Amino acid sequence: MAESPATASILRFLSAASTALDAARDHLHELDATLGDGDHGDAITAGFAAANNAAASATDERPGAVLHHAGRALADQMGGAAGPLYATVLRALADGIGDAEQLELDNIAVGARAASDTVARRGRVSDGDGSLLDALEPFAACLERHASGDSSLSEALADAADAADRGALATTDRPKRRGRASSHPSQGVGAQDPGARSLAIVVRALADALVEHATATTENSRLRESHP
Amino acid sequence: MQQSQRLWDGPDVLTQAALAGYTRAFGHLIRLDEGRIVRTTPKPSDRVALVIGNGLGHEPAMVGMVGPGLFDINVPGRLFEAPPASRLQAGLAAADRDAGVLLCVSNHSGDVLNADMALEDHQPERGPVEMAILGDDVASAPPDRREDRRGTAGLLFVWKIVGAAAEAGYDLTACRDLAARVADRTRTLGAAMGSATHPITGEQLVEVSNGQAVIGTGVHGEAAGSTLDHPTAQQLVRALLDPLLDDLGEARRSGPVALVLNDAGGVAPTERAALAGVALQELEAQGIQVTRSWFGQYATTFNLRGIALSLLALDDELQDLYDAPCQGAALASHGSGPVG
Repeated sequence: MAESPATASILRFLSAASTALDAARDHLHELDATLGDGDHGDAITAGFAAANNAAASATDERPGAVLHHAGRALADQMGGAAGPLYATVLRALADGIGDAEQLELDNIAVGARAASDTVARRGRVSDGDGSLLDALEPFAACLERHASGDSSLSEALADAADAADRGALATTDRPKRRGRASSHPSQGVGAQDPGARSLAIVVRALADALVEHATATTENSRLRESHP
Repeated sequence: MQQSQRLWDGPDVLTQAALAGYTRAFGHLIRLDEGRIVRTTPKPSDRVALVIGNGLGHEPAMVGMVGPGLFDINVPGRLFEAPPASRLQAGLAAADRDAGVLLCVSNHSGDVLNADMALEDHQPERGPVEMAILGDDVASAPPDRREDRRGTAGLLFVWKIVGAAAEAGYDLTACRDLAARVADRTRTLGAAMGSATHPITGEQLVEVSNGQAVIGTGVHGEAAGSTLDHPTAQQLVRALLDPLLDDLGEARRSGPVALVLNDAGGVAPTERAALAGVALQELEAQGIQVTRSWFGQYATTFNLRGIALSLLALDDELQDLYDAPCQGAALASHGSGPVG
């Protein structure tokens, strides 16, 4: 499709997330084998592969609509606890973007906030429970801080992806209060939560895709300036 | 790590073949309809329909519990993974009827999340839908957080009793309230005396040292509680029964109870019966009147060498419904009798 630069960025994000999760499959498998039943890597990889495939065939080519379509495909493919929560994340980001033709920091920050709040409500988790929310909430909070300042979208996303990464790593030392790990004798202390790790991988892919978006947009405007 | 077997080209191949096995062998009772297990002869539409989703890997739960006096529709997910909301919703739509549909949910985060989402945007054309989230495992949460307890083998009491009630014409509200009431009077505690082998990866799902028994294992073999070193059968049974009776409380255990011993998949039939015998003897010695008792494989975790004991505090209504006939691939009763 002859998509806009914003839609191209969303497609690049989904494709990069799918590839990165596939590459991390063994690591996620190990984390989940410690705390769950060892299939998180397979499930999330299949979920994002479905999301990525669906996005490429979305009929409405606006960025928000493409992302929403991807979220629906992920929800249809992936059950368990992770499926509905990841679908929630993608749909909330899509709703934040709404009908806009461009990707703006304010919209992404609003979407991330809604994603974190909805995951907390649906999953009945709080930040610090050792779930994917431990990566999602710092991501959302960091974007909000940047949105109230004068950061660019790509700066904000790169910083927020770092925050998600730190949040995921911090789950290592926390007792897990939800899901199967919570009934493990160690309550998962000493192991990173696989859901938080995969969330950090996904938002890193988003940040990287949007950095390329920003670079491409800047170069386009430079080209326009030099060739009026 | 044990070398994995090559019988099955992945978990989906295994689980789909298992469903084919059940539906082909028991075609007079159940059939596959768009990936769902449905009754071959549907229940009259003026009766409430019972629907449940579950991750596969716990056979015969729930595929073996679809049929007269039991469930109407089972929506299976993938291996150990609750089915997506969209598939649950399709199951609810297939069950839609004037009398309404009760969506039963065994309390695990994936099952609850997908059920919540399925109900959020489900628009039934004919009758209402109610949901019952049910748990029974005393190891998973203390008595003051009973609503957090996860669903394990003791929910068999709920399936059997509410199945009979729906068949007999209880309305939707009555079925929902009855499900909650049965779960409220049910307690389960499990133990693993050995591990389970994942049929695809060959990995051992639980670590149990030789001769030990781990108390409080869940339906995925996850361990939660204390460990007994080389227990006798009587010590093992008491380690399960004592917390159950404590948790049930004085008032409840003064009346008759029903016992279920669930074999998690790897206990020899002789030993299963022997453990049930020990449990019944123990309960009798403690002055507990057990009027109904079943033992068998109801909810498994592959070949986990483990058992769970479940108690239900009965009353006349519950006992009558428990005694009603039912016919599923894995649970057929022509009426239970008193324990001898």
